[in-house]
This record gives sequence, C-alpha cells and structure tokens, in this order.
Amino acid sequence: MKRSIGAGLCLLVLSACGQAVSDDPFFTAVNSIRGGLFNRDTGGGAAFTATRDSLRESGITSPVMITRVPARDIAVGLIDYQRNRDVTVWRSTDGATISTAGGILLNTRGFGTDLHSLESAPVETALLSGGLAEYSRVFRAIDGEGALQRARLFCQLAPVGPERIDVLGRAYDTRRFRETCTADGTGGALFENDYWRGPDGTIWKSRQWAGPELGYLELERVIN
Amino acid sequence: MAALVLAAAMLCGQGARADILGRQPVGPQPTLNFFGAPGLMDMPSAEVMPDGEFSTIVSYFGGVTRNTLSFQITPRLSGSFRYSATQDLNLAGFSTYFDRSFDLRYQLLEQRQGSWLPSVAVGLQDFVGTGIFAGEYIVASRSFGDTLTVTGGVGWGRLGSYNSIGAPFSATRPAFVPGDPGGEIAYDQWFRGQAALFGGIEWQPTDRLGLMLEYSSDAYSLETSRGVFDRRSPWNVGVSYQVNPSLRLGAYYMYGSEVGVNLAFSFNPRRPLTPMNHQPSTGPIALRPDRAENPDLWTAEWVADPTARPALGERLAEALAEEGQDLIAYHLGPYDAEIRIDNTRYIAVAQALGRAARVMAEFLPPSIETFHITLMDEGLAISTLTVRRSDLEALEQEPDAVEALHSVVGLTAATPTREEDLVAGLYPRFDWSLRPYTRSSYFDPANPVLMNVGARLRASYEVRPGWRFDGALTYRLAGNLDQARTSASALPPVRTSGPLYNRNDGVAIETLTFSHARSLGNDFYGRVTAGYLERMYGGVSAELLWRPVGSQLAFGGEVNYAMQRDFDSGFGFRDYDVVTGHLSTYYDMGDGYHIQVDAGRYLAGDWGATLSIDREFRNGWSVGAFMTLTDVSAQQFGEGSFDKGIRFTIPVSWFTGQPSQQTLGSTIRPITRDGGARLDVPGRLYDRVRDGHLGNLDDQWAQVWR
Repeated sequence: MKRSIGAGLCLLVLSACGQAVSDDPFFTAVNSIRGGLFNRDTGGGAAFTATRDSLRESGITSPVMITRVPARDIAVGLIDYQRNRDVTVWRSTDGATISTAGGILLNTRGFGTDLHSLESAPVETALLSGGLAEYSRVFRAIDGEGALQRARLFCQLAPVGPERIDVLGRAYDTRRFRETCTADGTGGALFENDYWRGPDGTIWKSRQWAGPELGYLELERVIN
Repeated sequence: MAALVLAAAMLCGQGARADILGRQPVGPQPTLNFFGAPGLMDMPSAEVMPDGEFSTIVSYFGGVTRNTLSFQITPRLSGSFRYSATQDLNLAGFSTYFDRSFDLRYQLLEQRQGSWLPSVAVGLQDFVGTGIFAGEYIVASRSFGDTLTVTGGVGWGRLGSYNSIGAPFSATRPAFVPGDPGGEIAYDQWFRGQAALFGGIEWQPTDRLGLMLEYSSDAYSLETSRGVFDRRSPWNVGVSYQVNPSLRLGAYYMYGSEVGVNLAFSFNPRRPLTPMNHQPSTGPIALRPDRAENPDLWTAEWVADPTARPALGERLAEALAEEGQDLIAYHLGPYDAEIRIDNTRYIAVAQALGRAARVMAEFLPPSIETFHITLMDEGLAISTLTVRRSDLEALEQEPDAVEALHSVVGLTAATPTREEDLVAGLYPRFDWSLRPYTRSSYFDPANPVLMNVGARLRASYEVRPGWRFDGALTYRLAGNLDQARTSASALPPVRTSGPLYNRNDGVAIETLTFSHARSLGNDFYGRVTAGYLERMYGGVSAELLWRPVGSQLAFGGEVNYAMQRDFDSGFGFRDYDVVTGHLSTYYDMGDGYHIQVDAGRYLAGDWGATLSIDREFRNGWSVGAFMTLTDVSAQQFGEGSFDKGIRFTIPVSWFTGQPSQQTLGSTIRPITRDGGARLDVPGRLYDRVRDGHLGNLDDQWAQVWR
C-alpha cells in the first residue's frame, strides 16, 4: 500500500518525483537502519542485530519480518511493503522480497534460485480448523531451462501443543503446528514446516520450506 | 573460443541433476564409450543419455584417437560427430589418417520398471563419412537394480568383423575405399554383409565408479593388417570414474595389448553452470490506490497538461534503460498507453515484456488501464502485447500467476511505428562496440585447429527506425589461420578460396552495409541490404517474409546479386559475380524443434535445397544440423560429396547466471567446398521476427514475472 501511494503522489507532482529511491519515504526509513537490519554474509556469519528499541528509534513502525535462510547464510529484516489483497509483500533494501498470506510463505524473489510459488490457501484453511488436517498444495518452480514445472504435494497438518515463544524480546503464547508434505516418488517427507500460531491466528514464528535450493526460511514477525 | 570456455567450465563441475523437488535420479548414468555413444568401451549399449545432453568425448587406445561431439536430440534419438586420427595407418597417402564421421542412434524400446523386457536400440555408425568406422547394430541392455547392466547385440560392418555368424540379410557389402570422396549416405550397405555378436557387463557399485567387461566384435582388420596395433584378444576390461556431474574418466586394457583412456564431458542446456540470478530491481508491481477512496487520483485530467507526456516519457525511458531496454516510441492516451522497446538484455522476450509492464505500472497515471508493449528489433516493429493493468495487479501474487496472466494477454502483429510517437531526439542513433573476435578453421590434416584472434570494431548509425548503416572492422592480433590451405575445386572457388582472406595482416572491412527492414502489413516483412555483406561477398540483397504472429509456418523469399570481394578485404571486387536466392519454408514443430527448407540457387550457380533442423531450448541454447543437395555431382563437389554440418549456440548467461543476450557458438562443417554454398546476409528476417511471435513467447512465458 505504501508503495502505491508513493506512486500516486508522484503523479500529482510530476516534476518532483523521480525514480531515485532516495526520495521514497520507505527507502529513507530503511536506509537509516541499514546496518542493523541488513546483515548479509558479512564474514562472521549472518546475524540480525536490530532490537525493538533500535527499530523504534529508526522510525520503523510498520511490521518487520525477520527472515533467516541458513542455507544461504542470510539474516535480514524485511519490511511490510505492500498489501495485495490478502497477500503481504515484505521487502529488503536491495529489493529482495517474500510474500506471505496469513503468515504462510507464498513466494520469494531475489534470493537466487527462488521459490516460484507454493500454494498457501490450503494451509490457512487447515490452521483455522485447529485440528488434524490433510490437503494438497501445488508447488511451482522454473527449471534450469526456464520452463514452469508443477508438482502436487500431499500434506498433513498436526497440532503439536502449546508453546511460549520469544520474538525479539517479546513473549507470545502460541500453539505449535507441524506440517508434513510428501510428493510422488519421494521416499520420506519432502519437508516439515513448523508454525507457531497466536490465539488471534497470527503466525508469530515459522520455519517454512522454500524449495530445494533455498531450503528452509525461518520467519519471525515483529510488530512494535 | 566456445571450446575454450566450455573446457574451463567443465572442470568446475556442475550442481546435482536433481529434479525441481530436489530429488536425485536413481542409479548412476550411462557411460559413454570410445565412440561417444552410451555403451561399454568399443561396443554400444541400448541406454540413452538424459534428454538434451551435450557431450564431448576424447578417447585413445592403440594409436587411434577419437574426438566426438554427441547430442541427445530427443529422449530416444541421439547423434554424434567425430574427428578421428589413426596413427601409422599409411592410407591414401597419409601416415596419420584423419577422418570425420557421423552416427545416429535410436532407442526402440525402453526398459520399464516391473517389466522383464530390456531396452533395445538400433544404431548407424559412420553413416555419411568415408566409412572407415562404418557399422550398424541392434543392441539390447537390461539393468538389474541400480548397479548392474548387461548388454548384448549384433553388429554389421566393422561391428560384424570378428567371429562372424553369417550374413542374415545380404551377403554383399561394399568395401571401404580409402581416399574415396565419401560423404554419401551409405544406405546401400546398412545391415549388409557379415554379422557378429558382441556384449558385455557394467557393474556400478557406487554412483561414481563403474567396472566393465566387454566382448568386442570389431576385428580391426584394417588397422592390424597395417601394424597400427596388435589385436590379441576380443576381451576388453576397464574402470570408469565420475569425477563430477560433468566429467567422467576411464582407463582400460584393450584387445589384450593396449592401454586405453577416455574422457567424457557432459552438459545439459537444462543445467546451467550458474543458476540464473534474477534481481527484482523493479520490485513487485506498483498497485494503484483504491479508486473509491482516492477518486481524484484516477481522473484523466493529466492529459490536458502539456508537460505530462514528455515528463512521463523521460521517466519511462530512464527506468526501461535500467532494465536493458531502449524506449523507441510511446503513445499515452487517457486510458491506454503504448511503449515500443528494443530489448537488449533478456534472452526471453517474456521477461523483457514483464519488466516493461512493471515499469509502466510504476510511472503511468492510474487512469491508464490498458498497456500495449511493442517489441522492436533494430527499428523493425514485430509484435504488440496487450495486457490489462488490473490483471497485472490482481495476478502477481497468485500461485498460478504465470498461467493466469497467459490466459488474459493478447499478442498481435505490430503496426508500423508512427513518426509522432518517436522519443524526441532519439534519431539519428549512433552505437559502437569494440570486442575481441576469434576465427577458426578445423580439420586441416596438417593443423587440425587453426585460429586467429583479434579485435572487432562495430558501429551502427540508424537514421530513422529501420534505416541503418552498419559496419564492422577487424584487426588480427595473433593466429595461424594464414596456414590454412586452399584446395582445388571443379567449381568456381566461391568458398574454397576462403583461406586466402585470412592472409592479410592489416585492418579488414568485414561488413559495411546500408539496410532497411520494415513491417509491410498483412503479416509481411521486408528487407533490403546493400554493401559489403560478408567477408567474401558484396552486393545487393532483398528479402520478403510472411509470418502471422501466431503461426507455426512461415514462407520467405530472398534474391541477391553477389560479387566476390578482393582477398585483402578492402573495397575492391574480383571478377566473379552471381545472382543467388532462395525460397524458404520455415516450420516451428513445437517443443523447441525447428525445421527449415531453402530451395534455390547457390553461390557457384548450382541449384538445389538445404534442409536444417535445430533444437532450441528456452534459455537460448540451440543445437542443429543441416545438409544441402544441389545439381553438383559428388565427383564435382569433391571430398564430402555434399555440404553438411552441425551448429550450436550457447548463451553466455548459461555460464554466468547474469542476464545477457550474448552467445557463443560455432558452425562445424566436416569440409568446406564450393557446392551448396550460401551467401551470408546480415539481418535476415526470420529469426528476428520469430523471436517476438507467439510460439517463442509461449515457450518462454514462465519468465514473465521474473
């Protein structure tokens, strides 16, 4: 939403707005805390070092998704950048994004070999029911030649139990769910995702598969 | 050049050959034999390589070296081109006998899980060369588990020469004639003469290690009779090792007397050396503000502001330039907008279009709902994609965004570019580049590879869209191509004089042309070119092409008047000129296979036709073969009997993972003669037009959101 209003403002003052990102309030905010938010493979391994206080001091009031990709040694804070109907797009300063719907990872862009898409709606429905559920999700990938490939995954969601978790120094009472997905021809599970869900349905923390190349993404949702 | 880069890349290895879910293939892959075919050592098996696999194999034993390029053309059909050297054969006046040969193999039956039936393949070895390796076979292979493969077959020709079991089909088989011009398709000898049985087993205890034992039905009669090596036993044993997914090495003990080695490098267009890294510099699509809440932002009043159009155009041009796209023209209406772009970065036009659409969404006023994006190629307008902005906004985050967007866009042939839409001050356009170049010649008996390297200065001056001057100067820095020899010819030396053009040291005018290409409406495109068209010829060329935007079929005609240029590559001409031209039929067979037939008159004045078949991959890889038959007899043509060759193109992005339209490639002819020689005219229409048409766009559509 932010971005679209930004573009809208540009239209009203044609001469004043350029493509220069520095004019954009979003980038101004993110750039001011770049050191804290964006730590990507700086030698000593990736770490997310910002705190709730440092975020507040930097004037970041919108939600932040702490995103760790252990396989790529990435730890980055992504800012709530755009709402496209029920999908939230989270974006880093260098333009990498992930999209979530109801806290479920839908796609990644700019992480190398990205997650093209993994259907999220069946998981959202299953989480709402709160109990044991079985469903399928369609995984889409673009192969090395540049062709779209689809695979149907068969999944099971099971409640694990209540857990109290900590997200950037704030405690949440959650219920933990584990999702196990298989594909035809896969021996065991293709992946196992974990979701920590608050009483209001917010997924505060999760560990979600983002395709064979990226592996798992560890997500934590920060609201100041 | 391409070969060097390939060699460097091979040593680096590649990622695993997993499928999209990361699943590893079960069991080890087939070993490539001394002929570059799936098999054991000297004998083939009925296995196939993964579809599209492109392999180079170097093997040596007992004085026989074989360099083979193999390609898995379809999941079942594969082909090879081989350049071999037999030391001390003392044949046809050569101490070391060099030979070029082609093979084809087809897997008739594939072993299926749960079935006892084996895989069965039929193959033709050296079927158009001079026939020194000529042999045919039918072979069956059965795998047991993931580790053991048993192979048995029956061979003819060379493969039927040891311990023959008789001649099941026909007793007579024409003998190999040393020094024969060769090159004729030897269908009169296939599966004729004596046959013999061969077989072997391969045990692959791990995914990397293979142990092999084979019984060879090749008597090597010619070689042993001339003392090349001593064949003491029909049994060969060996061990092979898969160093990385690209490289397999083998060491063998052959025929009871010789040590053999084999190096096989395999690539697959579908396994890039570096995965594509798509930086989303445009970010997600910019969404328009909610209309009910912000009605003011949605009015079309901005149209009345005379500064709006140029200001928006400037911003579009800037943002498109970041995406490697030149904005040529644009038209902004209150509710729809068109941009005309020349994509200079992305191989996939869908990716260029997707990025252009996002740039439009970023900058254009909310009242503009319909986007038209026209693809241009050097001033030639090709096709226009129409997409609704609300569809882009609504679909980007859908899991099926690729398929869903495909069903709501439209593609039409482009209308000519209107003068008033051109970006102000863009024309005349001047462009130049200075890059290294290489030029090589293969298969000279004294110097199998000759190469020049140097610098090439290109420049272009485009007066108006499609009206261009183009030129290229080359300067040789180093090389030994001047040692290439010319050969005698019964025809005008239209191509055999090629080596004479490599002997000057100074600056050479490679090309210098004036051309005009345009869309003529009704799915017709036209081009005229005049000047120094190629290194060896200058003249005038005119072309007409018909291809509807959604068609798989196209027809074209080209007529040229060509004069042979002086050997110094200056402005002068020699005393040879010819009217040449072709009628062409092009057909897109689907799945990346393309076929082309050109019929007409060639440079030496001979009449005939060329058949070309290419397989193109979505990421820009292409592998193909061609052959030309004309009214020139095999005798007049000389060695090789008729013109034929293979060609391949590899995109640089496949190596680097960075978007680029640059490619490496080569056309390899076993021998260059004067029959069936075509003029090389720059800027031919078909590939330029097809690139922006529906078949190609559909193939590459998955990249539209990248």
